[in-house]
Amino acid sequence: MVKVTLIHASWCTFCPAARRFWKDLKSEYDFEYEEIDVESPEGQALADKHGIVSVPTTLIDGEPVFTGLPKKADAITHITQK
Amino acid sequence: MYDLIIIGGGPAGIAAGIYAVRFGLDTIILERNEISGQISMADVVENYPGFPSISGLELMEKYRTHAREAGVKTMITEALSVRSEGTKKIVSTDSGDLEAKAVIIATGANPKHLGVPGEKEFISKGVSYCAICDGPFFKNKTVVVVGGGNSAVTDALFLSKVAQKVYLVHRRDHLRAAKILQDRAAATSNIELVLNTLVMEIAGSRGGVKKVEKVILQDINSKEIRELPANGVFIYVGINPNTGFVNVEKDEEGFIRTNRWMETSEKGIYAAGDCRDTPIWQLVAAVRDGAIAATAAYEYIENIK
Repeated sequence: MVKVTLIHASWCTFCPAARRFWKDLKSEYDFEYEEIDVESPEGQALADKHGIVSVPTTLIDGEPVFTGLPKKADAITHITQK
Repeated sequence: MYDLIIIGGGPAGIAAGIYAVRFGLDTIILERNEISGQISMADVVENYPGFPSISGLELMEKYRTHAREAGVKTMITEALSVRSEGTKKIVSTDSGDLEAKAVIIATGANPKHLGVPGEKEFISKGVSYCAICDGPFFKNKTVVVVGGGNSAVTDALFLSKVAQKVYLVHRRDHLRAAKILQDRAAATSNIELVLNTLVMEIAGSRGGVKKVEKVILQDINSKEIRELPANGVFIYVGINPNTGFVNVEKDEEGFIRTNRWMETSEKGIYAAGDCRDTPIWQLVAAVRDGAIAATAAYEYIENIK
């Protein structure tokens, strides 16, 4: 199953919309979903690993795929790829 | 069939929607996502009457609440094309076709790219077009802001509170921003103006984790090339209109040409806000455009009944 990880931040303008976007999509499609605050130790580690300097960033199966709000069609393509 | 479809839910689209429902038009606003309008990315808005100082996102929320309470419907979907069939307009979207008697294009614009080597490669790796979105990642670091207008200086001021050093690089010998903003920048100790200077390249590490490390600059007068170490580059060099999906008359940059009633070259299709060929791309002008476009659309719809 595809795993979606949303990296977000408390100060981020577009993060609330991105969280709603992925939660809405999760009600329609079957995928694993988690949210990680970039300022948490886990979030910082992911930011360092991938050089993330923009939020929201969405990882698909551990790799950064989307920065900002994804287009729905693109998101569906990625979560239905397996 | 709707009376009116408004494509875009930024300030122009919202203003048009509020006016349209008050005319009694069955109106829907199509939004690509739930955060619309470049103004959402503004740290602070200080030139909109009635709001001495408000964040762009907060102002946009007020617009949306006002529209919702006025009875404006919205749909999250992307418009793919607009065409006329007789007096009927058909808007193709990623959720299917929608029909209306008239359409207002209020799709706004996106930040223009600088078009230098390294820019595309380092987007989201240190190159950004939105300081309030990405600025906090550059705490105590060095950033370069490119541009000389209001957006560039406003965001340089925002970044000066986060970054250790902000270089404001502009190709002309003076900034275009409002004097009040220029004065604030001049009074901010960690903002340094670099005028008469072009950004030639954005460079950084490519192996492993990609990140911006420097910009290559050229002095316009002396032609001297130099490197400026930087962790982030924020670019504000104008806007590109989101108008590729609609086939009406546009200027050479893609901004939709209208008359003073916001009528485009296609009867029943109007344009408002930053997607329009207009002397100023400003919030207050977008709102005005929306009101005029809705009024013109109402007159048009009444006449084709």
